Amino acid sequence: MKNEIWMRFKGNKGACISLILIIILLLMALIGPYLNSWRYSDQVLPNANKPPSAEYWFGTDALGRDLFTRVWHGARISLLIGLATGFISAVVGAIYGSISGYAGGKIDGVMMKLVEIFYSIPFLLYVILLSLLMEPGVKAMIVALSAVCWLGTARVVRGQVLKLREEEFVLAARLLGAGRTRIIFRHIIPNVSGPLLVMTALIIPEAIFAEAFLSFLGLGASAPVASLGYLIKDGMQGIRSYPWQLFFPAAFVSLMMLGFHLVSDGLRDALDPKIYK
Amino acid sequence: MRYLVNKLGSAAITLLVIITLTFFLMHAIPGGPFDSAKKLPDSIMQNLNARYNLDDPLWRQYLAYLKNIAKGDLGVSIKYEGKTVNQIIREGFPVSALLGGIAITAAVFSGVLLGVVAALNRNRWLDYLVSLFVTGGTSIPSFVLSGLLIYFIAIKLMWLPPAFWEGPESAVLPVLALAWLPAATIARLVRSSMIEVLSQDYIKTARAKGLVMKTVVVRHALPNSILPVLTYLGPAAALILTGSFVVESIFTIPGLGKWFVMSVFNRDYTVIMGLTVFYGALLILMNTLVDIAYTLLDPRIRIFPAEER
Amino acid sequence: MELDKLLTVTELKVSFTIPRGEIKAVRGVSFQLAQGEILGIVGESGCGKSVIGQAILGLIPLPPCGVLAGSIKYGSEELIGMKESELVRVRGKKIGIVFQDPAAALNPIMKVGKQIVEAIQVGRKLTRKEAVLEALKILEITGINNPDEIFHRYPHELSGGLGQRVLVAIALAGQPEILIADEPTTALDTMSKVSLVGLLQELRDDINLTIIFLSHDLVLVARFCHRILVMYAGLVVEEGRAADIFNNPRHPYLRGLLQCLPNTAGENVFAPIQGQPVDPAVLPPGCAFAPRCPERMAVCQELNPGGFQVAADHIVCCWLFQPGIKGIKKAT
Repeated sequence: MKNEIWMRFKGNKGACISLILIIILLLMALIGPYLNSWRYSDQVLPNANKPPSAEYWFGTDALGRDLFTRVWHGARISLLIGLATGFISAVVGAIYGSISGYAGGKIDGVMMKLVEIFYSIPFLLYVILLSLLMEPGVKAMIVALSAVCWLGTARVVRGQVLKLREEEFVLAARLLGAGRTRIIFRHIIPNVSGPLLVMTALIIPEAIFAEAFLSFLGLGASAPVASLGYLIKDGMQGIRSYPWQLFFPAAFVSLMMLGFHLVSDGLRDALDPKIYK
Repeated sequence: MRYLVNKLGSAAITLLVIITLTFFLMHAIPGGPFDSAKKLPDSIMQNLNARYNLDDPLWRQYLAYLKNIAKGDLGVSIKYEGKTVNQIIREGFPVSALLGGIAITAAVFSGVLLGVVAALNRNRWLDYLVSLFVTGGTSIPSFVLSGLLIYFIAIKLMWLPPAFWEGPESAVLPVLALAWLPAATIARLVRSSMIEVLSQDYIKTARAKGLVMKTVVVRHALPNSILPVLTYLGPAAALILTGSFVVESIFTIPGLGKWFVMSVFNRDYTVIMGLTVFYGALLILMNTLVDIAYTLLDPRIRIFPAEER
Repeated sequence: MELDKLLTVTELKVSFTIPRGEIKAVRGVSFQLAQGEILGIVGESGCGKSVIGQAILGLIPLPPCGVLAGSIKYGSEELIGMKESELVRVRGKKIGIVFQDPAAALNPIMKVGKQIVEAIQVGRKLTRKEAVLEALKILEITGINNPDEIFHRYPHELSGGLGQRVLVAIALAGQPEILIADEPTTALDTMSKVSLVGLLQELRDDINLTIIFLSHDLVLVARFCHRILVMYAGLVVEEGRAADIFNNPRHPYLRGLLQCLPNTAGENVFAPIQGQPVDPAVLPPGCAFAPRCPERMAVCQELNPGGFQVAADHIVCCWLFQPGIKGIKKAT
């Protein structure tokens, strides 16, 4: 079955290109800052606000720092936050959702009511409040974002577990004497991981967006450690005369989000194929 | 109906949760005004004490706060002496409501139109164009979009003003920046919904009556396709609300969003608290209205109000 | 006496192109329909009968339809290739169709009465009042004795039998000459099946309605149709008067079908047809039934048989009935 899914994914050109795109972005985020001789915090004030050139591939910012290096450093931070949030949400959500779904009945009712209530609080509002609570920084951001995103994964996992519980093959397995753990590992996990993966792939760009948004509002990690959102905020200042300062970080944030969105769509289509797109 | 009572009950509980959460979060902030170690000007401290009884135990403060909210009093600003949150709302909300209202209307109309066009021209160039629109909307964050719009249209082309809220031309760019994402999502929803509807048997029955395609689409396909859009209105409203923070700041529009952003910058915690409660209540109200509207509009659901939606 | 031929279908071919390959749903079907006749087309799911019904009215969506060839003549008009603006005149007014499942074939958010009124008003200038009155009348004709009540109901509030009658009412609203009934009884229980068939018979008797009845229920079809076409894998395998088909079946497929039914003594001689139904995307050369046919010969696996006349008004498409075929060895 896994092969089939992979084949379907490969057939979706948009999704494949996006996957390659994401891999390229990841690679650049890892090695980009080392590609030239500048470090992200080096200030060369006389060279401030210079347009892209052979020396400064993306130009410089208001304090004379090389934008190329800063953009990839920022990308690293944004991706880190996005992926970490995705991972934590997936794990926490999966645990919560499995317990709720498998337990069923009243326990499930209470657990999901809790999730529903928190789910109705607007995402960004919630994150803003939470991030006020902590010292601004990467860790705080990840915690604040995960604290909201796990609701999504919990719902998905719980829905799947609930559905699977009643599926015939689980009943059959139980009749054959399979113990609870065996059922969980052999039957439930493979079937849950699909939708969970799709949800996680959706959470990542949402997290990257939220982080950029918050940095833009001044709530994220502050200078000189700067994520893409922070760079965009800075870039806005110089938009009249130095548009490249906005353009480069904006382009890469958008590409990141686009990439993850398309991959997530591709995964969803590959896992649940309908004849019409 | 029982359904209505249930809905209102849920709404009230959610609101309570928001208020409680906000309250305890604000009080937990290290370095906040509620932290006794922080030093604030005396006049402000007096105000705060009067309003919030900072010497009382926490739970009493909480109850007092609840009582105040019930009375309609959402608090005072720490940074701006004498300014109450209610005043801020009165000043800023009309502007934001106008901006948001236009944005959501624009989003729904354009989204539905584009979705229908895409569904009827599946896999042809029009469909492709719409999917570009959708891709752009869902991947370019609103703040980036605002920046790009300002740069290209206001600065380079000088077609529209880059900021402020004076006259109808000022509304175009902010509305565009706010509405693009919801419009894109609606377009995508309508497209897939309509494609599914068009493959249904009742469309064949309609055509078999001898109706032209246009009539079939407008009278049968469209009403059945836009029901899912209704369920998206709730999240769309939330999106536009939070989007307004950024758009109003960038375009310097004197709305509630800008106030909220400013109070976050200034760490004006009491205002943050008050505005959050206001926003929360607003969104819950809108979500509840949408839910009720849905049950009224779909005849299959009307009959069974007790069933889980 | 030559009856007027209302509808003449000649070598109708319909294929669909899907990612998996080309699906040849209809591979060359020909028949004629006389006025006042009830023609039954019988076959299992996937044999192509529904496609024929929809092809007549031009309701087959062009993608994924790959090929639409042949001729369907309604009187002197050629329906294949007719422009949409012309087809709109024919649909409902000259030829009507009733689909299988009322739960799916009726607009779920529109009141049933409104859907009938809409059908009535197509191409006619009636006031709303007049149209409503007519709709109520048609509902009565279909055997509904509380038309005012049903008028205001939504589709999901109706039982299967009632819903099916509403579909018939909608089809009749345009006052067509021909009614195509696409498996109208499949979703119904036995009692409703019988009464619906009774209704159709009445309509034919009262207003001389010509009916094409598509079904997989051979017994039902034999009971009330005048002529029957038996289809398998997109082709007609046997064609004749109802009595002949039922009492004197020739084609091995048809005989297999009849053997599955309880005989007159009520005993069930369980002799199912061997093998699996054919996959329309992977059709064998030659006769499509050959892989499952207990009497197949070598030629059957290579060439598709044409039609052979075995009696007046009785044609079989099977090599077994080619004159002079006796003595040929059977395939191993």
